[in-house]
Amino acid sequence: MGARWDGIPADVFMDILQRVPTSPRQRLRLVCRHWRDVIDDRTRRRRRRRHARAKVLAFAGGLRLPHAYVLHGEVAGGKDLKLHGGVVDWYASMVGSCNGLICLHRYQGDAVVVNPATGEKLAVPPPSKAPGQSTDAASYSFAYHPATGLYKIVHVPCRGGAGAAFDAVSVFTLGGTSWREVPVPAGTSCHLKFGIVSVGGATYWVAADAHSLMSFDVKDERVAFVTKLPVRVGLWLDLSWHLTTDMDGRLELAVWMLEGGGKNKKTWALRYRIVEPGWEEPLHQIAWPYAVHGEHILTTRNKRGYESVSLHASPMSEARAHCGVVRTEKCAPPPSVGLYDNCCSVRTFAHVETREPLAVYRCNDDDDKIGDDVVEWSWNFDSEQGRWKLMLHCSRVRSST
Amino acid sequence: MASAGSGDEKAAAAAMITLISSDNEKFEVTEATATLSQTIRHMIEDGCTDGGVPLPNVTSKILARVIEYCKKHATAAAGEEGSSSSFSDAAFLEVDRAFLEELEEFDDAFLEVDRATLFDLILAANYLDIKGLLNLTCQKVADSVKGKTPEQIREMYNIVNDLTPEEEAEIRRETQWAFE
Repeated sequence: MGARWDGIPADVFMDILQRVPTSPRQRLRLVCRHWRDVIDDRTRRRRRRRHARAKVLAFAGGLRLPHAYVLHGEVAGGKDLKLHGGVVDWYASMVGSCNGLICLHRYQGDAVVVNPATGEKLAVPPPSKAPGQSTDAASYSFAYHPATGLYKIVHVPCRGGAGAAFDAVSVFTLGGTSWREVPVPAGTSCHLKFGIVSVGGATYWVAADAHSLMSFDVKDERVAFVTKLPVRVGLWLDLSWHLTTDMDGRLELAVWMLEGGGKNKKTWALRYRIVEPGWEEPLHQIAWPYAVHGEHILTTRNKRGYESVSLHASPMSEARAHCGVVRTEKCAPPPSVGLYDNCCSVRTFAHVETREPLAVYRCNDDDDKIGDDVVEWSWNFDSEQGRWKLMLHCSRVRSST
Repeated sequence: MASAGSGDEKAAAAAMITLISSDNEKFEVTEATATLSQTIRHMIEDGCTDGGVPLPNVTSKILARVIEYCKKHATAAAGEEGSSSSFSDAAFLEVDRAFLEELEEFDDAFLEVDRATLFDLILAANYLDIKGLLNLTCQKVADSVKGKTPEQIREMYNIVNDLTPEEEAEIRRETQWAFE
């Protein structure tokens, strides 16, 4: 009967394996070569497809309830992503997007992971045991480890600019029930101004010295020093994680890419240099944390006097002609791809649509089951049980004739 | 039985299709039942069902089960359509729920088959493109491997482990956390 499996078409086989949660699915690679190859092949194909399909997600907030827009094709400003009931509050901000799952940080310091395509949502308690202690959304990152399929939310405990040294980062694994403290090497610090980014199974940030790049390995949960940045970064520049130099009285933004596969063989390579309108247009800046989309550089422009932000995409094709320098003021004004009213900040992310179920990450605890009828929720710390408990506020209003 | 050439809707709904299994057994089913299969639906649309639809990949034993499933679910689909106009009526909602529960019970009982039959049903559902049945059977197989060790799965499905010890070590190294 072993032959029965061989007779199953590959796509049906994958359909079956897709119904097994990611973690056990990885273990199924041990059954035999056929199973391993089917799982590996699909993981590879999906990864390729994801890259091809990634779209720009603009998260606009500040002056009203935040909205997320996915930019594609002809729709100006993009499609308003439905963030289902109760997910966003006035102060919600976006932590990140991994494989179509969106992680939002909420006012009370808790988080929620949403799949906008299916409407599924997963509530994540605040990392701190002190209720009401609000934390900066910028100190969170949503990370994915491609080889293992593991999702984690990483919280670096620092506030404001160059923070003091800390002795642990907090980690929440999707599918787990609580945050864990992961010890870090002595003297580890973080400069939040440069942001925290997660890519390729690791989370990166710049230390308080504004020169050392640190990483958190999502799989092994180790914090380590990666390398020195190629140039020391001017702290007075408000330019997130991009590295900047000053040239001819203009702000010039250089995008350095960390390259190389092996753990110790990473080198910096200068990929683009972008001349920002800088002094002349101080409100026009490179979008972050996702700045380069395919052949375009994304920039945002705060409209003075109007409470709105516009998003622009400058083609990099001009960069080739100008020795790798992209001048955003070259195409004045750069093509606008979206205008968002009633907001004062727009952050950009790479986003793909997925039907991947979130339900598999729910723990056995009934607490985190947020149905569609839940309009709001709050977390209360149960000191007797030593864990957070979810209080749901449902709307049972049904349309009647 | 519908009279030929009738454009009447009722007659169309009662139109019969003949399905022929690989062992040459003939099954007569209503068009509503048969069109749960996208494959057959396309054949009907293309007008190539005269003289019966040969299904060389499906045995009579499996085809009988597939038809049993389609009949039940075709009734369900018809029921849904019928009640949709008056969905606000609480009594109708109640009836719907009872029917859905009955359908779930039917599905559960339907899946009480041996593994060989289950695999044959998957192949038939895939070939005939019956989404609901494929969904149901795939979930059943997925549930059967959930929570099992690779050894248990091999034993259950008579799969030979052809991974070399080196390959196994490699996989274990890559997915260490999955064995906690």
